[in-house]
Amino acid sequence: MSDLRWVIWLIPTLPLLGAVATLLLARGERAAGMIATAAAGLSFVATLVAVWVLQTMPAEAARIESVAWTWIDVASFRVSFGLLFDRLTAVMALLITGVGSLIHVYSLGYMRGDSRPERFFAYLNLFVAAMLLLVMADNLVLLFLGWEGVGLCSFLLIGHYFDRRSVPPGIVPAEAATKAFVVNRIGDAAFLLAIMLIFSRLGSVSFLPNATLGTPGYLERAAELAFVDVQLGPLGSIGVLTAIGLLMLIGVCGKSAQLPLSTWLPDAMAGPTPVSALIHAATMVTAGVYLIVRNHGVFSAAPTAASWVVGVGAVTALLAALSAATQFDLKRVLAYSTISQLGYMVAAVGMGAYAAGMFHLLTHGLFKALLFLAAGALIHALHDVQDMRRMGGLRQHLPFTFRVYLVGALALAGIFPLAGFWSKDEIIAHAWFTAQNPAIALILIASAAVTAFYMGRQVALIFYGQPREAHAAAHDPHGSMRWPLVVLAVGAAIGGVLNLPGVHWLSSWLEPTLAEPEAVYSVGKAVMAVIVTAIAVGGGYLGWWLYARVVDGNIVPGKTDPALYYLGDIWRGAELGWGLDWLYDRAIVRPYRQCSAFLGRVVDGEALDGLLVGGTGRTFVALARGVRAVQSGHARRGLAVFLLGVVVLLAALLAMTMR
Amino acid sequence: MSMIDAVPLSWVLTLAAILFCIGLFGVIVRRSLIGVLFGVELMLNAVNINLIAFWRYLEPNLVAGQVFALFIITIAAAEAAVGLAMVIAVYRTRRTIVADDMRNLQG
Amino acid sequence: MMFQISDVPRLLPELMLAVLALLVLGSDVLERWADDPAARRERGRAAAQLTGIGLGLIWLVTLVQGGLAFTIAPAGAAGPLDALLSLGRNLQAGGAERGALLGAFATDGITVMARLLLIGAALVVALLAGDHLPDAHPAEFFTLLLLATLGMCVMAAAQELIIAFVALECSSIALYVLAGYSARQPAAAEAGMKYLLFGVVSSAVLLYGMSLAYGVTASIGGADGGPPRVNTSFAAIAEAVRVADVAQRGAVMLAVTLMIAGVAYKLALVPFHSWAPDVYQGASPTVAAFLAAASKTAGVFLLVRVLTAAFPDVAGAAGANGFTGWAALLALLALSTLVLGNLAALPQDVTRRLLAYSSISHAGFLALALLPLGGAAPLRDAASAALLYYLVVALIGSLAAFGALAALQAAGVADRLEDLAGLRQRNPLLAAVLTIAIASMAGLPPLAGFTAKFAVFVGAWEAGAAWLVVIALVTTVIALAYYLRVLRPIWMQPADDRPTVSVAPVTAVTLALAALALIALGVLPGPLWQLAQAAVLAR
Repeated sequence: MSDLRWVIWLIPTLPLLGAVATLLLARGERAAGMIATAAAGLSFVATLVAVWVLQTMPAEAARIESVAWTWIDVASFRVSFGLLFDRLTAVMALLITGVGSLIHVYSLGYMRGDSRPERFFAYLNLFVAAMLLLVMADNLVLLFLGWEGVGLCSFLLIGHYFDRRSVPPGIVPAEAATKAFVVNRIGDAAFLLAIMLIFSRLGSVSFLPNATLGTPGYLERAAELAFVDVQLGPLGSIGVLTAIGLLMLIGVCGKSAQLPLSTWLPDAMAGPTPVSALIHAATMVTAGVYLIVRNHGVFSAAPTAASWVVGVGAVTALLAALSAATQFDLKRVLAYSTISQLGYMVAAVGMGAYAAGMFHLLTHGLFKALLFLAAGALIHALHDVQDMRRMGGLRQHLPFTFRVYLVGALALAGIFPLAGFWSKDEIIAHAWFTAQNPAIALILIASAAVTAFYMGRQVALIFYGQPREAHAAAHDPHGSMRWPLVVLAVGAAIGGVLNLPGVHWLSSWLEPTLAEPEAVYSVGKAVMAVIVTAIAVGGGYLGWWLYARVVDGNIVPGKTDPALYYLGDIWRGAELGWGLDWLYDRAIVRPYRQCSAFLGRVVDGEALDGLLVGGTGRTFVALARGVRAVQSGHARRGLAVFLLGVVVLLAALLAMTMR
Repeated sequence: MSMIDAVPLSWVLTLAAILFCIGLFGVIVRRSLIGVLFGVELMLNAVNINLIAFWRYLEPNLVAGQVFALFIITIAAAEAAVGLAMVIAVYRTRRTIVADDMRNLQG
Repeated sequence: MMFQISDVPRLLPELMLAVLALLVLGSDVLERWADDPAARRERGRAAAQLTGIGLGLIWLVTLVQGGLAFTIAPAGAAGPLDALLSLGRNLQAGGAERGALLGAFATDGITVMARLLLIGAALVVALLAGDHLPDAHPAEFFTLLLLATLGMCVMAAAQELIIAFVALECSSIALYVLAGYSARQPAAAEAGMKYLLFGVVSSAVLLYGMSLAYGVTASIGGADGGPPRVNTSFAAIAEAVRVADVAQRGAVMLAVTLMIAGVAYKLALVPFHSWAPDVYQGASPTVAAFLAAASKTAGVFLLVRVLTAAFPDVAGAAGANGFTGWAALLALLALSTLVLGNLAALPQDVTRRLLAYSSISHAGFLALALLPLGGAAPLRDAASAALLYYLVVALIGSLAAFGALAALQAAGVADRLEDLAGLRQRNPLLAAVLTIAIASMAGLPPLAGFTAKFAVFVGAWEAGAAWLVVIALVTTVIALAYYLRVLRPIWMQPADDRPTVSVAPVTAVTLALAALALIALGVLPGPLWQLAQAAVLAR
């Protein structure tokens, strides 16, 4: 079916065209929504066709490569503008276009009455295009283009409600958008360094050998560098692959909101809820996981970097889960939960459990999108109430929302036989049995317990107990907001079949790409699964029981959680995201602003007064004409800086020649 | 005894360097714009002394240094003309020629 | 340095610029203009049109003559086009074979590239100035613009100290006047005065360095008693530097340092930058665009000429292989410029001032791009091409950004960041142009700025200055924070009751083309890259 290979170009192009058409042609909400949704849906169809083409190919050569043109050709630095559609990409593309289309449909209803629907849908389409480019790129630089593109769309969409001064719980959308972009940019800089290091040491940035450009693929050459070091001057030396892996890890921490760069994601909830579902739960934030899986050759040859990946992932999983347990804002719970679940994925791929990580990525994409969309339905029904202290007892009013939410919550908590159970269990089993790392496994099990706890707490706070505020007019979603929820709920319920023990479709589908040994299923794993599920059920029940039965009467809007009384600072720390925001504010943002303001004055020539004109100049003048203070002078101060520059250059020259 | 035998090149260069520094000093400490321009003239003349000295001491048969100095004198005149015109423009709008008073532009 | 009749075609663009300058001035002086507002507008328009058409013609002549982009087939079939083709053929035949003025003026690919860039920038500025005319004597404005361009073109080709100096002053003196042009505004007069003060001081410093270089060359060249040679030519200096002893090397390094400092003010490298924010803010915005785009580019070309032609033997290195020579000096300047420029940009509230600091920080990237030029051939050529590429992109980016600000000011929009609020509704085109230009400056793919920065990074990395590349990358993170300060009001603030902004059609088309170029060069950098490579190799 090689004649259908061109279809892969349609996959990212259709949403891109959709974005342009929506922005330029669409007038009015309906037209915009329809164009954008059609573009996303067609892209999904194109992905299905491409997957079918892939299926007809022999497993060893199951990839479609297509180079449109040579993008960059700078001396030996050659980059193609080309796509690579292999089995790993296929999985990601199916998730992006599938969940993306559902969320487009949902947005038709959710964004009704919005003041800027054209921009919303255009950006959403643009996001899908950029994300598809990210997963379909055949080299790192093009991947970086998608990587920055999704960041830009995320920025634009988080700031969608910029005309609201603040959205619950007191976030300024424009500031949250800026924060997300800038924090991500830290990771991007590290990622770019990793790309440069890969190019300078491996001579190529293509994943696979590229016949059109004649460049080799760097992945297969990675293993050659396993014992080569890069010199850091006075800082000693570090393995090349370790350096690459660690730099990539920083990039992953930015994009996938891992500690310590996780702070942007909770604030990103200022965006419209479909955006939170698509970008900040199902797809964009998983780009980091995809990056590690794509570079599995690098990470498997750099054990130090891989163990850092595991550590970051596991610690993030636990700490973010604890934070999720303390939030009262509906979406912030889910945001911290996303960070925590991403921690699972990162830990899994760090341990080499690539298929398990991808499996969890998929199931998480389904059930977290479901949870966010259901949360959106709640927010819609309650007219922008997001504070769970103002909910309670809603299961009578919103039976449908309650049911789909429960499916999502149980799947997230990892209750048998929903999707989350299978994927989470596989990661924990891999940590215990294959990676033989009980510490990590225990952290992950603890996180699973906390996960179940906060979902139990959330369900109890929203749907059980007494109604703390009257929401008589609240009603379940219908029309275009309803059936995406049904589809996702079915997916979240039965998503586990993708990789059932013994069947493991996903593992064998990915096997030619990842070359990962097949997981063996044993009695030990079954016992482990039973224990983990028991812990999850216990945690979930505890959360539900505490908040639906015990402290139900003590939850008051605007008041703190009763648990704060018992846990004190630990609870407070978790609630504030372990003070990372505070720390960054004190350690980086404020000093940076002050330094910048100071330098602004210095470089503007203001503060050099004391240093130069007032110092040197005054001395000279005092010598020359007796004591007479020199007035500060703006222009002359600049000239003084100029001459200072000459002097510094001469001093540097002297220092160089003296050596 | 000609001047070249009596005065070594290094003396002349030192003179030029001192003149240059005096000009520089004037540029920094003079408050009047015209004073600053005077300082620059001193610096340019220091350069001229350098060039002429190099020419006279090292390659009296060629012309490059001389020509260079002539060009500098000419262009210094042009610079001074434009500079003084601008001083007048500033004076017309601000009624002052003190460099420190030019602080309309601030971030 | 004798002028030969065969130099005429080699210096054709420069001669045409000089003639055009006189023509613009003369046509204005010879006409008897009435003194009412309509006639004044007409007068300005006439000068702008003449300048625009003339510059367009000169640009085309340069393009054909340079022969970088295409060569005309030797024998054309007889036809109506043949006359035109034979004209072009003649132009190319008289082109870039060897330097004019006995080698004091290089007519190689870099000269051609510089002419294309600088004349192109002048053309764009003339087009933008069309609806932003100075309040008095428009013809003089355009004459000065042309003379400055002439000086810059010669600067970029100079192979001799005196020519370099005269060209530098030719452009500088014209720019001093331009910066202070609308003399009725106190800010403009102040900007012009400040620019002049810095200009004359730095030219004195430059000249002191030049005199020392001449002295070293004379002390060596005078001894051997060979055929008379010009001791101010870069070739002679390079030869003298090669055989210089330790003491003379010291004088050489002193000369290099002073010359770098003298030219660095043109690039606005920290700490030679203090004039830039004031002048960019105070001068009329079209002049600011010209300064940010053309003047800086010309300064880079002059540095390239001086450093590679006169001082290749003291290039040194700024990386693992040692920290010596002018490469180390440039590394220091790049470091201070990147760090201080980017930090100082953040607290600015005036858009043009913020962009001025952004432009300063871009000079840091230029210094970074200059670093590898002292290296060995294949690396050096790639780095030179990367530098040319970056110059083109930076030039278009500054023209687009400052041009959009000029259009805004022409429409009466004040120059603080909050005045941009809701621009996307008030004028979508200007909003898009500003956004694209700024995103390109911030280095977001797929815009040209990303590709250009990447090429520069690769060059500097390969030259061993990886540490500087890391710092430059970190500063791009910081840079995004202040670039978003410009983009946020445009896209994320309601317009409230601010009026819509209207733009003249010529300006709109020019700016849109510049923005499209930034996209096109980012997505398809190939053709420009080949052009840059051809320019580097056509020696």
